[in-house]
Amino acid sequence: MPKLQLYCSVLSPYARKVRIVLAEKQIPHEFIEISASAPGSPVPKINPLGKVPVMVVDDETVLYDSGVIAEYLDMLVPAPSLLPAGGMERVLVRRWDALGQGICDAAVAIAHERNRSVEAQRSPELMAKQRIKVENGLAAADRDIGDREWCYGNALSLGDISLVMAMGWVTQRLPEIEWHRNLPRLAAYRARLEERASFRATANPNLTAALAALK
Amino acid sequence: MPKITLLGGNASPFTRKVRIVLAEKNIAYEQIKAATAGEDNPVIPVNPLGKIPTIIIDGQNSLYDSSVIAEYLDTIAPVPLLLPPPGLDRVEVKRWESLGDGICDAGVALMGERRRTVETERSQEFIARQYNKFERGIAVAAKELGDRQWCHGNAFTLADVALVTAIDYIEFRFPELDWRKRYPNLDAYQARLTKRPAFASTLPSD
Repeated sequence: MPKLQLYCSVLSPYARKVRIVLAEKQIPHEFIEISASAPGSPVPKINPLGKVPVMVVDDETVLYDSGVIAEYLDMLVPAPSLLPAGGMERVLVRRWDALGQGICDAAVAIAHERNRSVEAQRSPELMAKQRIKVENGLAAADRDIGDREWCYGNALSLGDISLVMAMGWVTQRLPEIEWHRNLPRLAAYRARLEERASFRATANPNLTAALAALK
Repeated sequence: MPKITLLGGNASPFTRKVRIVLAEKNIAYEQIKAATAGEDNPVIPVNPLGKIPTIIIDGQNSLYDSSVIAEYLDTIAPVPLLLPPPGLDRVEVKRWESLGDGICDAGVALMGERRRTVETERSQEFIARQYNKFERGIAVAAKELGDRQWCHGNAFTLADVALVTAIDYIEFRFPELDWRKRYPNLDAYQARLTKRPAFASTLPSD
């Protein structure tokens, strides 16, 4: 097994995706908690795009983004398989991954906008546009998953992991988007997946408390 | 061959990636230059995220984003093969793709910032951060490409599509960066690849 170092923040949704994959496959790794944007952060030297998660393999090969790292880990340790071997099946799971990723990107854009230190630089128009993406994306997930147990096929895939990381982050960081009220079926899908050991282990402490309070 | 409808305009770097792949593989398609900025974003019914590129297959199923579409096109038309079969080579090609896409993401974010109609909403700090991503991204691409002919291995791959798309987009929108003088190897590489019909016929335009 190669030496794997994962640079990430426990608060990063994209990092959580990779951490769930590592946990599902029980892959030993070194976890390096780091902020990508803090002054003097080493992340920009490792990943020119200055983003986490980033993985260093055997002190040599640098991998990003979360999708590429997940694909690498699925190749390295094939069980349980999170991506079909090829063909249309793989494309469709990756489309689910793109939906989860896209929902999360829109949610993160809203949070970044809110965090602009100069209040006048925050654009209500942009936040409204991104919110529509989040809401449309979740509604589409609800419609397409329906009453099925998994977003694709008969087992957990990278698609489920991406969707749940997105839903978790939206719920926690943008609680005013009360999607679970409008989409109870999707909320039940998420709640079931959040119970898995790999999801529980990677939920950030606030999320763990929030889930406990729901019971 | 399925009927492919591509939603996306010629200024979008991610749409260009898909157009290059379609052209390299000689796949016929219809292009709809959908404008996504307005209130009635026509992409939403086929992609809940409302983003381009999105493709519609046989008028029924839709696919996004550009990376997923490229993988699909490589599946239905494997010649020339742009992604190695699953394994380390494929991961490395995709890491290049991520680098190219990340540079384009920074560029698109920067354009969004420039286009903010309310001038006081523009953040110099944000703009500087995106420029840093360009600078570091191009520097790493130039270093890793070195004097090799292709980004990965001995053949043209999706890695090259993504990298040329990124540097052409920078040239299109941010000519002031003047990377050609600073990275002559990238300059020569880009000049060579741009001669391919798939690249020459898809140059970015408004």
